[in-house]
Amino acid sequence: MKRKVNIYLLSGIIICGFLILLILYSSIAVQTTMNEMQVNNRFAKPSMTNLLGTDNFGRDILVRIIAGLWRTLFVAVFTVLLGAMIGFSLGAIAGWYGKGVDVVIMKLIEIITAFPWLLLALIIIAVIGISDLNIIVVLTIVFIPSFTRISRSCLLKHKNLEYVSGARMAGASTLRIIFVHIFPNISTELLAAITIGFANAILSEATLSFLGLGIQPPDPSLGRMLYEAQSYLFKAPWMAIMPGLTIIMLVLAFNNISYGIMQWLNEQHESKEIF
Amino acid sequence: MKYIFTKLLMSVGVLIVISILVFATFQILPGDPVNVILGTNSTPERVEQLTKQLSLDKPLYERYLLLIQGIFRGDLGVSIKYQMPVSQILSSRLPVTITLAVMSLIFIVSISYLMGLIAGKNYDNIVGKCIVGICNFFTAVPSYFLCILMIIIFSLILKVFQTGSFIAYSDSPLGYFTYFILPAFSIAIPNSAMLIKFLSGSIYDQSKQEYIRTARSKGASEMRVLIHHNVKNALIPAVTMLGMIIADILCGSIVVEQIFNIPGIGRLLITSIGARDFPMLQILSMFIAAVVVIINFTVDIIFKLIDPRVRIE
Repeated sequence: MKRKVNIYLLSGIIICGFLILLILYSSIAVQTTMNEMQVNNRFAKPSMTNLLGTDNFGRDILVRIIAGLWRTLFVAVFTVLLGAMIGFSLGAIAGWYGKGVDVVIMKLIEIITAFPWLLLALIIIAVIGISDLNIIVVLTIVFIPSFTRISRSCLLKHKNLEYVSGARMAGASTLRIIFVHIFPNISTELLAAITIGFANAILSEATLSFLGLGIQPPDPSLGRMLYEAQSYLFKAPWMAIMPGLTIIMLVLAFNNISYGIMQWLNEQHESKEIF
Repeated sequence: MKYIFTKLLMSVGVLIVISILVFATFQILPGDPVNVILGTNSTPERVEQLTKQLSLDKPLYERYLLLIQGIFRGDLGVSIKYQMPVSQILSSRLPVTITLAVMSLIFIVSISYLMGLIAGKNYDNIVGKCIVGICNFFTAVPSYFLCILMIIIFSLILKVFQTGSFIAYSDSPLGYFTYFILPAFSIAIPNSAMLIKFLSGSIYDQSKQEYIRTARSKGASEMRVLIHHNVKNALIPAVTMLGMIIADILCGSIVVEQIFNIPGIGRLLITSIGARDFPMLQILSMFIAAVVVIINFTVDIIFKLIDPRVRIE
């Protein structure tokens, strides 16, 4: 059988590689820092000295994009880690114990999802205020439901399989069965959920920062840069286009990696059925 | 009938819990609302008077009941920022957001129906793969970046659109609706991309089913097989996504109204957060969540009507 190339996975990794090249270039070739202002070099067009141009304070856009990129990734990593930890555990508990526990947890999840995610985020921000740490808290709460649903449905599929009853008969504790026996078997599904969650976390962080409710100036963030660029759209369109393209590439990379994992999962599934 | 009744009961339960949650959330907020309203010119008498007026001297559950009673009587409280009844502000802002949402929905449904049909029919060949690829790209594009791109294209390069100058319906109905085209489009594109992907996959899966072969062997034309048999069944799972899409439109409108200067609910929400206008925020949050719950309930009922096989799990 000819091996099919997993286009999604490949393209995701290529985009990631491109972003890494950009990061390397900016750390080697560019000397300015993210908040350094060059007053006589405002609104410079993209050129060799300022690869992506400069903004209204004469700050280098490439450097700011890379700094914003790190910050966005930082928020996304913590959001997804926390969200996945809490969500997967909740889902596992709901799926494993079933009945009343399941109903209570899933009703709670249903109520959280009755709020459109942005509204939920806005309400929580109104209560706990704006700070870098709070965005992680807000987005974690927003992302828990999707992780819970996935781990619950996986657990429901696996809990009556033979290897689980085998482990149970061997005297393994519930915690051991869930974390040592079941989780490795559903790790690909969970990994796909984590990567797509990661892409969504990046988008969400950018949206909140765009609305001025995320990372606070003068520190750069991709969403905030887009917001600031709005006032100079006619004078310096590159101020908006560059951060926007970066967000798209970042999200596209993780989306594609996630699709790639899912495609790989389906192929595995099909080949198992044939043999 | 039993299905509808059970779903109705569940939705009402969710609505009650939501109202309690939102109420409780805005009670634990730091800062006394009386001090927020009076600011520096507060005297003990005025504080006492306002406390009475806002019934802050009553216990929590009583205040909650008063709030719910008020909602049913149409008395939604007074906004701190605007010093006006919340219901009055809502009634002026609501039509704007509804127009935006309905236009987005029309765009979403028409674009994704048409493109989903083409992509589903050509799922295996290059046309379908291209459409799905383009959709994959657009699911990664945030709606606000689309807005900015559209402003650059349509008002900077083509000069056919004037941003920031919202036209009221009373001034010019035509201008009012044309102003919404770009915002609605930028909300519609990411959502359509998602829906097209889903719909085309669904159409492709259904086209492999036996009833399609039966229809073909009975001599039905290719068009009839597609529209009458294939798409009809493929649409059923897509209907369940409607609730999610409406929630997404509401999220999108919060952002898009901000960019295009549209005086709707989304803009109101953001200004209320900036002004710490909690009576307003409380009502707005309950209202939007309630809209989503009611739409999900309606979708469940429609789902049941078009596909009688559905049962409660």
